[in-house]
Amino acid sequence: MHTVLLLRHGESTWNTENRVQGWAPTPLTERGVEQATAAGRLLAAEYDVDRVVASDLRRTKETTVHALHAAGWDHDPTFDRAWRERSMGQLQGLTVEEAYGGHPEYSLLHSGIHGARATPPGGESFLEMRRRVLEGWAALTGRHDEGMTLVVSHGGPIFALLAHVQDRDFLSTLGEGWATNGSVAELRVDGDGAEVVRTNLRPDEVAADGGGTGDGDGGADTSDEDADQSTEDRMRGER
Amino acid sequence: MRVVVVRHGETDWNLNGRMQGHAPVPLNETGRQQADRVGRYLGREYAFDRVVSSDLLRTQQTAEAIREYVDAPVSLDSAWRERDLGVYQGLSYGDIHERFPEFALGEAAVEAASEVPEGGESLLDVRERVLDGWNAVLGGDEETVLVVTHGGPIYLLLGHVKDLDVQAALLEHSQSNCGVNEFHHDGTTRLVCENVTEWDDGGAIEGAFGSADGRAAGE
Repeated sequence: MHTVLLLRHGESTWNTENRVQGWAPTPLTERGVEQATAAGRLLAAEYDVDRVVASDLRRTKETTVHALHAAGWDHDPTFDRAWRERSMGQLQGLTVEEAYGGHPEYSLLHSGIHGARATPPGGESFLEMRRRVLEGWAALTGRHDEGMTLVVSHGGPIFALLAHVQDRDFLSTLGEGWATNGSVAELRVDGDGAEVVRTNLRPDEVAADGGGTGDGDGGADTSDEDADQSTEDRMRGER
Repeated sequence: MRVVVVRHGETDWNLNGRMQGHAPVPLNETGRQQADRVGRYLGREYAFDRVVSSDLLRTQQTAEAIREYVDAPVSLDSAWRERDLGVYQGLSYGDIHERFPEFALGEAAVEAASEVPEGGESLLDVRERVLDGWNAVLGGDEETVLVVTHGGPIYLLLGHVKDLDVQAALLEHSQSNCGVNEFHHDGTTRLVCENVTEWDDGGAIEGAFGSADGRAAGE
């Protein structure tokens, strides 16, 4: 059996401004560094990782460095484009409101499957991102069938992968919220497929409001902080 | 043939020092006023046969405002777009100057004119397509044409007409929002005036932004 841990990057400057990041080289905020550090401590307390793979964007690279340092691990991470966030092309840098409110045709939540298929100029559709991530997933699980891998990635890819391994549609998966900054999901992969053991795991001492804005860059944006929010309410958060 | 080239009005990203590239950022209130005033000025000073505009939002909105005073058909041409900054779009000038100077607005950027930002264009790429757009305008049979475009393309065009290299073109020019430039062409091209803002009766354009914006074609 192969255990895969999915860590979302810590809060970045554009998370706090609620801007659509895509592939922008935005750094972590101080709080993002704290989240990455806390995630590293949690990982070290609960897991023993054999290898580390991470998106090569700036915010995931920084998260990886801080998490590994805090865990006291000396793995040499593999940085892989397959785990990048959805490229938003010309919409990059707009606020989530401007990007998806002004251009709902590129939004999974506003436009359903048509929104998942639509490609912003210079960017990727949600489904193109998903295909790229699933190729990364297939490569990873094809290469290893035992041990434990830490994958450091983004809200969109983690969302797409969780929906895929659970064979669930996007909207019902969104109803459970977006991975929060610095949170961990655990998957167990064996010959029969993958099982989601837990999601949104994070240390108790870390402020819990990092996920309220989502990544603002995966084509969806939901909060998992308000457990009693209806899916409809969460979907509005995407604006 | 007479060609008048004007830069778009102010946007919030101009005001806040954010690199726009191809982002669909609209004119702000100041920008709408600038576009209205330059439109009135252009309608009074020239008789245009045609308007060519970059198809990005801020130039389209500027062209639409000008059309209130200029009765000529508008065609959109992506050759007149600003530089595509790829993954650097949306970063602030300060951010990008500090961390990615090769794609910022200073000398390091113009020295790196052939560098391609991931997902974007080099300055040399931009120059080539702008000059394609320019030659298409000169190849038309109109007497007077208005072009609505961006800072970067105007610097590169001015550099071309003055026979400057790309580096000098970017470092030695500045354009205010809705600055007006006029060229005469009869086989050779002559620059008649540059960055004219006499349409501005209230100091609107020397406000928060001023002249340093868009220096390296990323505005």
